[in-house]
Amino acid sequence: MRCHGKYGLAAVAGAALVFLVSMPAASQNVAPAAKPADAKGVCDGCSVDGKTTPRLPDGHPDLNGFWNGQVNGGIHSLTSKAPDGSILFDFGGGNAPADGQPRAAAPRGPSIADDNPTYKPEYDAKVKAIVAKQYGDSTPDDPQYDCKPLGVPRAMFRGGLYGAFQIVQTPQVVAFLFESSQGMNFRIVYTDGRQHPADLDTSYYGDSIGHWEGDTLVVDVVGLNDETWLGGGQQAPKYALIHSDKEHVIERYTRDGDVLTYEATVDDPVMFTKPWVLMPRHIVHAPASDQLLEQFCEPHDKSHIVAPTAADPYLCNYCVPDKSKK
Amino acid sequence: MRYKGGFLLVVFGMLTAAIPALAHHSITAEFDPSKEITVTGVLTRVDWTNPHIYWYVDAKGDNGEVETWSFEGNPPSTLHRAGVKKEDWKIGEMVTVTAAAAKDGTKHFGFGKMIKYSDGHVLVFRVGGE
Repeated sequence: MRCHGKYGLAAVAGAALVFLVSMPAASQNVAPAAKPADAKGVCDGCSVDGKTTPRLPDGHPDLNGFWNGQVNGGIHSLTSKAPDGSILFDFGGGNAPADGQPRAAAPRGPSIADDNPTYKPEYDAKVKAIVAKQYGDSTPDDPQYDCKPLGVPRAMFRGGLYGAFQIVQTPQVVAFLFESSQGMNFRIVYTDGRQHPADLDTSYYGDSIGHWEGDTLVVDVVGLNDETWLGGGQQAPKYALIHSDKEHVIERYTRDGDVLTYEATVDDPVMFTKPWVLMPRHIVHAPASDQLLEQFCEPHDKSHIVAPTAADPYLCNYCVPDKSKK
Repeated sequence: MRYKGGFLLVVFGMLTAAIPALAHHSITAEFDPSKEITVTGVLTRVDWTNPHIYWYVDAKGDNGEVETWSFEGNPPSTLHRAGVKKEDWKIGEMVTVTAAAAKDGTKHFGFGKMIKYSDGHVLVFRVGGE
């Protein structure tokens, strides 16, 4: 059995070529260049030339603005519209090869599926038991299907390669406003010199205090509850799942031009044998034509995700089994 | 070509780069793309919710009773950035929806693949690129 594109792939691929040639300049957001202003006004926090890192009056890098892009690849969707109001929307169709052959994985930058922590044996067994029940990357056990906040570090890259968030920065705080399938939520990093509270209760985003080391914002996160996962889901570290409320994260945010690099080291002395050093993620600043969208989460999926069976093994994310090959 | 109704494919094209909102679960973890259902009725509502939009159709069942069907779609932010808007769902119109059936046996539920309005225009949703 193999997977193939059943839905008129050739037509879409052909259309993709036409679109690529006629693509409006405004939609080319992969490598932002100078964009001091566009139809929606001056870009909040954009680099003037795409290379120079903007700075605040206090001299620190300016992290403000909406961050939602991916440096390498990403899911490219196609939309076409007809005068009668008809719309063809193809999620990921822009990644389809033109020859109609089975689709290769979309170009999404470095592979992170194997970027996993090292669990102690008893927790490793728990993680593997969860993964064994997943249909592809999906299981109703994943707390994201309860619409819970994703926690740290998962919220920063939504499990996969990159996140989408607005940063609001002052000398005292750096606030992250997430565009997340989990609904509207935020976290605040205090940069005013305070320490973690002594009477901290655990929470989804814990308590974050930050300081600058040169041009890098270094954030220490404690007080995280154990109701989130570290990764999981599509495009995510496959075996980075459960953690304890003793999780401790040190994050490093470094801006270079219009690219924000996110690095993190996650330790969990209860479950890990050693700290987990994540593969860095790179997030691109959005142009002024894009902005953070309101999100509201409904936990519809949880009750409908199935487990794989012998009769219905997981094959690939979207493909249709080619029954003629049976 | 499966799509009919005078759909002019290439009139206005747009390739949206690096769409932020990802499909957060495998489509096939909930739906069977090879098991197609077709429902004709009145489009009563669209919920622009995360992680998926849902729309609802009231259709008469075999016994003449009105049954409410629900259909899942992509995330609203993905659709919005791709130029597909909530107002493209014309509430109150008679439509025919084609969908992939839910695997867990939930009745009247599927992943929406096409909405055809009575005037012939269609909204088509595909998942590709994987």
